[in-house]
Amino acid sequence: MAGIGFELRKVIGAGGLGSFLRAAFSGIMIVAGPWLFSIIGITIIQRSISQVGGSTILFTATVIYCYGWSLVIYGGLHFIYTRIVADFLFLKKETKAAGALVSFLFLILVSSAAISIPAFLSFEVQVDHQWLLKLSGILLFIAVNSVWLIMIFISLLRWYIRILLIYAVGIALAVFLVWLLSPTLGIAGALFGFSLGHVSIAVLLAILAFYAHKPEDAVGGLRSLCLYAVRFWRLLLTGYLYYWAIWVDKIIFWFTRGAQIDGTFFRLFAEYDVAVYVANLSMIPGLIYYIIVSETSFYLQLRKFLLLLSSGTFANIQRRKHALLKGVNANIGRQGMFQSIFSLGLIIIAPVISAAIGNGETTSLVVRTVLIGVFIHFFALTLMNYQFYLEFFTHALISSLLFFVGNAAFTLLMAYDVVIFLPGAGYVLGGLAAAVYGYVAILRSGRHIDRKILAKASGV
Amino acid sequence: MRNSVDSKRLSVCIVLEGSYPFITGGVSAWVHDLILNLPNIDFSLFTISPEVDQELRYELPENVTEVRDVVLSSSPDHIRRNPSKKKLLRSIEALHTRMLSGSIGDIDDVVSFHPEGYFMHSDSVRSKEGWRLITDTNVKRNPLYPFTDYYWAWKSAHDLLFSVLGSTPPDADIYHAVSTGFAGIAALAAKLRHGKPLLLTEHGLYHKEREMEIRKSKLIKGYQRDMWISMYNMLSKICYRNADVITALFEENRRKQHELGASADKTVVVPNGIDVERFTMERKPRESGFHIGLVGRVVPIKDIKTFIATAKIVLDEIPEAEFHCIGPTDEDFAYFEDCKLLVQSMKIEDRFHFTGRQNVLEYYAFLDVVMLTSVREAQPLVILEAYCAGVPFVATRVGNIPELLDYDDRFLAPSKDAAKLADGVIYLHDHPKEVDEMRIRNRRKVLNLYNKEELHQKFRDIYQDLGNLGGTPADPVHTGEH
Repeated sequence: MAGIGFELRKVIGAGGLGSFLRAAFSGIMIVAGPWLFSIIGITIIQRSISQVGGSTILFTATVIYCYGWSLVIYGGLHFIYTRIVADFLFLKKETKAAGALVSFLFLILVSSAAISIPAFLSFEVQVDHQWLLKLSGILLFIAVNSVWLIMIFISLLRWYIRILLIYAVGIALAVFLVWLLSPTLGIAGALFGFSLGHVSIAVLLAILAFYAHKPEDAVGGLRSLCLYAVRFWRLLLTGYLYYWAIWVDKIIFWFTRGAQIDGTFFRLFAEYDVAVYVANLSMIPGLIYYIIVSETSFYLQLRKFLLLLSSGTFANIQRRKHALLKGVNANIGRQGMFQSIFSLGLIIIAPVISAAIGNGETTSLVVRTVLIGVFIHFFALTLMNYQFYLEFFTHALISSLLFFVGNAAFTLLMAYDVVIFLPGAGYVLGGLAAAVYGYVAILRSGRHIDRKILAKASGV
Repeated sequence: MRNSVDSKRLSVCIVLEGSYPFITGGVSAWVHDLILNLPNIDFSLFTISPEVDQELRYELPENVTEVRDVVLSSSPDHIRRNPSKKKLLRSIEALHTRMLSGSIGDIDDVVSFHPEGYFMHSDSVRSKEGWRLITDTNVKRNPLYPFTDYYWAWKSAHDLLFSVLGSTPPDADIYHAVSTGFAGIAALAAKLRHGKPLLLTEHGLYHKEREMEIRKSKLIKGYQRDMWISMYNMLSKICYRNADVITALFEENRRKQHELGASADKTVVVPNGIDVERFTMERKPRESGFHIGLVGRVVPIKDIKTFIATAKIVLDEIPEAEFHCIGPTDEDFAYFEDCKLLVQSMKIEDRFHFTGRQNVLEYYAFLDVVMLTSVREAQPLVILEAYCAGVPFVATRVGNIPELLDYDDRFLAPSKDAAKLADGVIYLHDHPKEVDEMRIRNRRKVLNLYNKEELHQKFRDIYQDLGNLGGTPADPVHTGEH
């Protein structure tokens, strides 16, 4: 996303508080717009459901399960698809990228239908219009998966504003439909309205994508997927491990401490889920800072280094390499300072947050733990992004593996009362392991980046 | 090709680079002839080629037991592990240090830590030690030039050597390299690893030929030019220093071998020879015309364009003259097209003929003069053939040609000097009586000095002597794996 970072830097470069606020608002919208729209939409919908006396827990669980499982099932493929589209776009083969999108969409539609149909058909929920509820769940899972995929394609085309508008329209439609349908159809109608809103986002995004680039060679897209999955197996695994690392503690708690939702296989552990749901938003300022400041400055340094690598003397290459690594260090420090202001502020007011959001379901201590976890997760995530820039695929894989293993192992120990900690401690520990490893790996391997690049270019 | 090898027969592994049996030419013809005429010796061929699956250009004699090809451009399928990798890199570093200080490098250590089947293309860059070697030499030699240029030059030069050092030659009693360079190093590695003697035969001087190519190349410039030239020089020096017997075609080359470190007691001159019987023929001059031929491939090194320019000058003086370019035209198609265009632009198409591959005997029978316009030669057999067939010769002053032409300035010209070459042809046209005397003199010279029988006997003796040495020339070096 370095491209949008440069655009936003230009806005800030105009000077004045107005420019700064405009850049900040644009950053928030671009980085977290769809995310925020979804959360705002879900909050409004939950209130609508409460007002008509429906079960918000069933709605919330359906949304969490659709989003969560879509990432842990398809997260690795998202990484691979991102690489394929980026390569096609680099080669100016936009139509082939669109062709790959068609084949991927087909694959996702078929497989997500195959997963969600038996899952939702197994429901025996005591609500009116049960068939509509099941259909809504299936539609939501398929739509969410499709949206992730099309978003990758459109994000690489850098159409951030259009994405934002489509999200705004889709969520508004969902809220409207929930308002329209829930009084007569109850929870099933609310979920159906929400699902239709997502379907509309998926359809509008697809129209936008295929209007821009006519798809070509869709079968070749599937072939590319197989080839890339073999060639970039570390990327594929990193994608899966990263998403599993984020979700594994929730899943463990669902099935060890969580409460089952009647008539479904869904289980939720409200004490932790609610805290995570809110605390994740605390990452947004840091991500905006990263995109506008850290990533752009790193990109410029890296570009200078790569240019010098092809034409500079050895001494100058070494100087530029050290400047690059120094820059990474400085960026990490500055973005840490920036994010810590928000995280610290939220940690201080955690009692207020916990009181406001959870109807007593969570505690301020859990919220604080998760806020610390998100703070560290933010570092692990941005460091992983640096690793991808530098093509340190093995390090990225090890980082995400440490994140996953750390989180899973510690959460299991907690879940079975071997160690007593607050929920979220595994997330903190796994994230810390990933961030520390990522940081050390970048600085250590970065010292040999000239060797690694030339060795790769030599085909050895 | 023989399928089974008599264990009592002497076996010789000839190590070649870019020639027999895939490319035709002087060296290839020489090797083919040698093998054919030593039927009691088994030969294996260890060839170093630029590409895979090259077409055989010769029918292999019965006593060729094996052809094993090392392709420099391709990555090896299977790479053996090398537990002595660090020691190997240290020995390469030490070799570089010695070479930087001006002394001749000794590659015993390098070979001892570099087992056959191990290819260090990757380790030379990916390992910290290998990378340090590259960057240190860059800092010492070329601190002010772009590093990547140096890196690619270093890599391409060393990768060729790594391919050669990792290759596995056929087993043999004697390793016979037909040049220094990569073939020489491959043969030397075999000698050191297997404790067998090494015979080095040079037709031209490999490092000088490479130097000419490098100086002409537009791709290699500046310090890289010096680097490549110095590398080829060093390879030759290493080969000269380690070979057990070195043969040169003529005295001047032998002297140059001494200058690069070959010891006098190891070098011997073995001139080329021809099948005197085959080239002794009755002349059948054509009734009309004055016929001038050039026997050779249509390639830049033969400088056919100068031959065409000479033709134009001669035709202005001798309108009845006819020119025959006798040799394959398919090795450098672009150059052949250029030559045809030049002939057309000079409007001599009716007097200048590209014959393609032909039986040269039919041409020697009627040619009045044979020419060579090459920019580089060693000891061209075509002069001996023409002499034997009774045809006088005009040629450029390269390699051993002046000696073959008795240093007679009337028939020698500097490279690319078409006017001087034309003078020689015109002189021969205008002095038929003197030509008759020359025919007798030249033929006698070939019979006395350049008879192929003697050449074969000399090599038979050298092989026998080296074979009798058995494994004594050098104990096999202990490879790192032990």
